[in-house]
Order: sequence, then C-alpha cells, then structure tokens
Amino acid sequence: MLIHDRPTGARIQFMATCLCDAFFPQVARAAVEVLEHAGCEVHFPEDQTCCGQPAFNSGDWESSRAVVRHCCHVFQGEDPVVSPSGSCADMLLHGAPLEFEKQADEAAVQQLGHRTWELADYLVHARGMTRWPGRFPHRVVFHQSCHSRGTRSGEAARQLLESIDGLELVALEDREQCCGFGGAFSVSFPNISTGMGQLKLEHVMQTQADVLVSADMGCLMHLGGLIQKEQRGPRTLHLAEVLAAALTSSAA
Amino acid sequence: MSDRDTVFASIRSALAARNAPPSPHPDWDTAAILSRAAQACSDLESLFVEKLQASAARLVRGWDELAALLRAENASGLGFADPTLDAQHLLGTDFEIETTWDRSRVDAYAFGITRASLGIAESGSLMLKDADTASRLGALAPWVHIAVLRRRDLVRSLSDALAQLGDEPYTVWVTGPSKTGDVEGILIQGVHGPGIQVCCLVD
Amino acid sequence: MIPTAQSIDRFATTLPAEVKATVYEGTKVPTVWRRDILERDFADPDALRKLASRIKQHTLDHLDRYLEQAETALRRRGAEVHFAKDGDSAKAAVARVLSEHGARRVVKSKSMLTEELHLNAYLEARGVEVVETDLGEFIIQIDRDVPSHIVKPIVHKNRRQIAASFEREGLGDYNEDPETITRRARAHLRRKYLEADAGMTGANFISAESGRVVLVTNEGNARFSVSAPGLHIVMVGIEKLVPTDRDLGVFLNLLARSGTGQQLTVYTQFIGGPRPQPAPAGQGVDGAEKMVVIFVDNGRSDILGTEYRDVLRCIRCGACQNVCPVYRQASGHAYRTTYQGPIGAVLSPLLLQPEFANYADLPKASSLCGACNEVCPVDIPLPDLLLRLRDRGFRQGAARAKAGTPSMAPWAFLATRPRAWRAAMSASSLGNALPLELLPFPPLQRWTQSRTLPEFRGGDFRSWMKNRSPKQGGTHE
Repeated sequence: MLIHDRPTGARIQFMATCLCDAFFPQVARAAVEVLEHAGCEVHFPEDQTCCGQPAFNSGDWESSRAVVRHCCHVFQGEDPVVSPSGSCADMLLHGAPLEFEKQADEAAVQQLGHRTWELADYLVHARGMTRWPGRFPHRVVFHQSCHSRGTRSGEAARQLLESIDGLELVALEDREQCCGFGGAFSVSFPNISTGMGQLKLEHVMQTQADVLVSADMGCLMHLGGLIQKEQRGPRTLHLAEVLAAALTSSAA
Repeated sequence: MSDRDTVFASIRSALAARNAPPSPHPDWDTAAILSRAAQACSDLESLFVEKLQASAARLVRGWDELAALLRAENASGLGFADPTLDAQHLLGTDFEIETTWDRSRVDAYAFGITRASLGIAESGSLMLKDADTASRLGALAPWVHIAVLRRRDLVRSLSDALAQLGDEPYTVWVTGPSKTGDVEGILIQGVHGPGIQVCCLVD
Repeated sequence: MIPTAQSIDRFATTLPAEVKATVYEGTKVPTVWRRDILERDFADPDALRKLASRIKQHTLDHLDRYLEQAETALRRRGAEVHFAKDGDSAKAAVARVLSEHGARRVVKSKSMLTEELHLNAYLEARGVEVVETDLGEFIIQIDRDVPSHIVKPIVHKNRRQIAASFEREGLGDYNEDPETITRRARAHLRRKYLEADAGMTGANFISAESGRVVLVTNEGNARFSVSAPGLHIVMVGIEKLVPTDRDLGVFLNLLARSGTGQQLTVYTQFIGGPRPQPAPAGQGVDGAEKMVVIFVDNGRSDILGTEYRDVLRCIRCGACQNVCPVYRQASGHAYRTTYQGPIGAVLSPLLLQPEFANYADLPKASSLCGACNEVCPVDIPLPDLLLRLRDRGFRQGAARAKAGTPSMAPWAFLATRPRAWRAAMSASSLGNALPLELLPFPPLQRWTQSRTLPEFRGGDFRSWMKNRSPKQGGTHE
C-alpha cells in the first residue's frame, strides 16, 4: 500500500523488532549503522518490545491490542519510526488499524502506523538515497518478504543492492512466492510451511548465488534454518548487513 | 412469507445495518477497458485478423478459399448452410448442402455455415445472434463451423459489441474453436463444439 | 511427515508426489499467463480491478434494487423467476420446475452453486438423470468425486486415472491420450444433449438492466445445454448481478484473463430470454422455448451486512487458488468444502455459519502472504478477511482454530512489561544450553524437525546501543 505524506525527517525512532532483540543483534546493529550513514539521528526507545503481530496473526486480537497499545506508548511524537522489517512495519501500518476498528484509541494507532517505515523504503523514499557506496563483491539473490508486497520496499531494496559496487543481483524464479514462514503458521502448519520453504530454496539454489538477502528476519530465520538443517544453499544476510558490510569495505 | 419476501427482507435488513454509506456507481470511461492493441489500431481488419488467428480460428477470404479449406480438411461431404447465403452455388457441386437443419442427423453434417452479426477486432471474436443464425445447432454441432462475416460489420471493442446486443434473446461471442485444458492442462480442440472454427470474410 | 495438529497440513503430507506436481503445474501456469496477458493488454491492470471492485461493491450496496430490476427485466423477456432462501428451498424449486415440465433427463453445465447445494444427489434420489457436461465435471461425476478447484475441477487428476475411469464406465478401452478421452466424451455427451428434457446452467453474471444471463465457457457444453433441450434452468446466487450491459465489459475483460490467462473464453453467451414462439422467419427452431431463473440466497444475505461483505464481490475466477502457495501444497480437497483456497477459506466458513466451528481451521491455512488479494479481479482483501475470521475463531474458542497455535498470552504478558521483557531477553541465552529439540513443547518441535533454531542472543543489541557513542546525537532512551 502506498502511503503519502509520511514524515520523512532524519531524526528517527528505531524499532529493532523482537526477533533481532532475541536472536539477531548483528542485524539491528547494522541497521543503526546504515541509518547513521544516511545522516539519521537514531533514537532507541528502550521500553520497546514487539509490534504485536504474533498474536494478531494467531487470532488473539485482545493480546495483540495490548501489545500495540504498548507500542503507541513507547513510540510517541511525530518522528518517523524505522524498522529493519517489512513485516513489523506492515503490522503497524495495516494490521493494527484493522484490529483497532471501533476502538477508542483507533486514531493513535493509525498515527503510529502512518509514520512507520521499512528500512529500505525509508532510505530511498524518505532520505532520497538512490545509490549505496562501498563494495560487496558477491552474487546476491534477493527475497522480497510478502509483507512488503504492494509497497515500494522491494523495489527500494533492489535499487540499493544493484548500486553497490561488485554486487551482482540475480533474478529469482517465482520471486513473488511466499517462503512459507508466516509467523505462527510455520509451527501450526509445519509440513506446508516446510514444503514452501523447500520450493523457495530450490529456486534460490538455481541462481547459484552465494548470498541470499532479505529485509525480514522472519523469512531468513525460516530459510536459514532450513538451509542449515538440509546443509545446502547459500548463506543468508539481512539487507542491513549487506549495506553495512559495503560501508566497511569502502572505509577500508 | 414467500421465499421472495424472505430474501428481500434479509437483504434489506443487512443493507440497513451497514455502517458505511452505500457506494455510488463509479462513473467510468469506456477507454479504461480498451486494450492497448485496440487503442493503437488504425485498421480494424488487420487487428481482427491478427486476434482471430491468435484464438486459433482460421480466416478465409471469399468462397473459393473456403471451398479449398473444406477440401483440405476432408470436410467435402454434406454440409448445412444458412438458406440466405446461396452456399451450394458459391461452393460448387463437390459439396452437398442442406439448408434445413435436421437435428435427427446431427452427426451427418461435416460443416455448418451461418452468418456472423459482427466481428470484434480487439478479441477476434465472431458475434452470432439468433436473428442472423439459421440454426444454433447448425453453428455448433458440426466439426467445422464457418461464420460468414461482412467487412463492414467489424467493430473495435467488446464495449462496441455489448452496445449492439439489442433485444436479442440469444447472442454468443465465439473466440476460436471449442477447447479444453481439463486433462493435465493439455490443450485439446473440439470438445463439444467445432474443432475447426472458420471466419469467411466477405465484402 | 512432521506431527501436526491441523488437518489441512496433514492432508498435504498424504498427497502423492505425482498429484502434488500436477496441482503445482496446473496452478502455476495460469498464474503466469494471467500476469502476462494483463500486462500486455493494459497500461494499468490494477486500475481495472479496482474499477471492477467498485462496480461490484456498488451493486451489493443496492442489491435489493438491482435484484428487483433483474427480476422485472427477466419476466418482461418471458422468463419465469423464482427465489430460494436456502439450499433446501432451491433444490425443491428445481424439482418442482422439472416435474411441471415432465423433465426426467437433465444436462448440466458446470455450476459451483449447484455443487454448493449438492443438487445432483438430490435430483438423482428423485429419479432424475443428471449429466454433467463440462469434461472435468463429467469425470468428477463418473468418479463420484468432488471438484478440487473452482475453474479446473480435476486439477488433482492425471490422465492415467481418467483413462481408467473411462474404461470402467464402458467408454472404450483403456487409452490415456487426452485427445481420445475428449473425443469419447464428445460422442457420449452429444447423445445426452439431444435426449435431454432440460439444460441447467449457472450464470457468471446477470445484467440487472436487461436481465441478460451471461455464461462463459471454453468447451461449448453450455451452448449445447441451452440450444438442444426445450427447457433452460438457470441457478444463480443473488450476488451475481452487475448494474448494466455496459458494466459487463469490465468483468468480461477481467474474468478469463484472471482465471485462465485468456483474453476471453471461447464462448461468451448472452441469454436474453427464451426463444420466441413461433420462431421468426429465417431463424432456426432450436433453443429453449422455456427459461426459468432461480435466484438463490443460501447464506449470502447474512454476509451482506457484516464486515465480511467484500467476499460477495467474488466472480469465481480461481486466480487466488492458482497463486496460493498453500493451495499448491495442499490441493483443493484439503479444504473439505465446495470452495477451496483463499476464497474458500473465507467463503466456506461464512456460508456454513451454523457449523462455523467445524471450518474454523480454514482461515488458519494461510501464511497471509497477500498474493491472493494482489491477483483478485475485484480486489477482495482476502488476508484481512482471513484475519477477521481467525479473531472470530479464537473468540469462539473453536478447537479447530486453536489447534497447533501456541498460546499468545504469556508472550503478551511480557511484551507489555518492558522490564520483564528485558530480563527475559537477557536470560534467553541460557536457552542455548538446553536440548531444545527434546523439550516437550510441540510448537518448538514442529519448528526444529525441519529447521534449526538460531542461537539466543537476547540483550546483545541493547548493550551495544547503550555502550556506544552515537553519531548525529542519537539516544538510547
């Protein structure tokens, strides 16, 4: 969904996501470095926890609303909220307003959603960064997460990746197909979820890329877990890690 | 309460309960549904021929070409034809033409010739109306169907053809031969209707 | 197979590899064709489906008015019009019409509504011979199977199974050549058309303005069904209306492109009423001289006033089934209902309201990837509707909805208490010492059977943020 008139300022609130908080600190760290390189003043509200999506997707909307209310409390003000996850950004932009229909605090939820950005979307469309400096000499395949479907995030990520010196971005067959993560879906429908992941992995391996990149740690945790278990396929990196790695090489 | 009353009461109570105002009919422009090819086209006949052939229908120009096609397809036995077309005379004596459809001999006819009311350039479709069709089954049951279309009866778009439906009880747009992909997605032509669909373009 | 609590997930593991491959190809190919033809023909295909959505929503918002208009137009054109509030009433109406005309042999053209009503079994029990004439539906009928897809009823069958069925039914020796199969069906069904007392069809659209019934098919069976027998019965859902003949152009441009990747299906029929009697000079004598239209509600008006009303815009193109990665893995029969895939996961539990709890798992069978909405020609927000139904299933405590989904309450408890959250994050690295795969926590086991779990590193990012000197004056608050 294309949203207009979103705040585009350089002073931002960083939403690290619960997955990065628990499992992937290097991704959140890379995202902060990338944002700072883009000239941002990064604020990290320490009371942040999660966007509320796990309960929302599970159908437990009451639990989810409690967590979203906490989010609204943590991320106050008018500044952009930036997250290295299309999925969490979409939760606040689209999911939360759905579960807050006819709730007293619907407007506050919409206000937060309206200023929440996915990282690549923010870099390209708020900061106007159409090129990324540095070098990353690898054959890369990009998996666009489904929650950024219909937004400009995927195109923004591809644009940044393609601009990096030495990086070869290769086409992925059936690139619009879901990887099969889907949050709780991955454990409530484990066989279908795994089947979808294996199909994605086959398409990824056809590209002979040495790095699989995505802008969502949900997809990467699932695909990376599959790659590790089956001992086949490329290594996985979050988009922020690639951008940060390119910066390091340009500094060197 | 009759079923009619029950259904309407249920619809009306649902509509009354809705919390959003009813949406208006969008005021849309016919150009919005005109395909790129039809927008760009300056010659209806060439677009029609291109689309007709893309639909796997065959084109012949005039009766001599039609006679040649029928011979090539081994369809030179008995045929049914619209009585107003003078097909026997135009095709020649190799062909035996009946101008009254006999449903009891449905499989006896190798081909059927009827008139098309319109041709739709953007889709290559032939529009058959009851008013111009000597027999619905004569246009459907034989393996080869020939629709005779006059050049001046070409229209540009689906919208143009929809505007010509009039008060007709039955109209069909035919876009290619009868086909199916039901078995493993493999395309087979000639399921219940014609396996060979021909447009005979005349002046 | 990974142990699973969800029946759709279990069904997917029972599918033979061969069937899975057939379903995958049969759904992927039209998905690609759909996109290619829309992009080829229109500068902005998205605008077209948004337009179709608005026209259809407008129609539904004024359904009483348009239904009355269609009824009047159809009667004016000489058709008989009936209404049926539910399935029983609809089936009884058909039986009554058939018996009034002494009709005992019916040829039928594919109709999802009649599948929904299980009409064939009802009529057969009353001594009526009903013959499905769409090739796929014919095969379903002789196999006593049910369709697994809205548009491609036998997408789950391969030619060898079909050849065996034909042999069993005395339609010739075993032969798996699709062309031979098709020719045999042609010969068999042709006799049935000519002997039939009545032809029965659904309707893809009815124009309220003119009462015209629009039917799209590729095979020509619906043409035969309205041309050979003397009586034509149309069974149609009350939501199938569009306001005007002109509006039909929007939908005809979208329906075949979305469903099969064709610009138009081979036959687009506009049935404006029964054949006038006697036939005007120069016109043939075939075509039904009697036409009966039965408008069926069967739960639709109950959806109309709810937050699920968008689903009534559906024009049954099957594009959402074709694109759905879950459908591709599980196939249609996994859904246990007439409508499958994303549209079925929304529509079936709603149409089967009294038994909602039995179908509360259907909305869970989605990764919410959103591809279904993206291809929908009437822009139904299917993922949103799936989510609303999950909320409903949870609130109703439906066991089928909850099965296999971890409870979110403990997580929400932590996620609303930042201190406790941070403490849990810091403590999480202790988990790395545990043999997680052996813990008696089923969701974890269901994850780790096919995927490794990443190492817990809770709190690492927070300490890094706290201990660094931020550039550009950022803060750790």
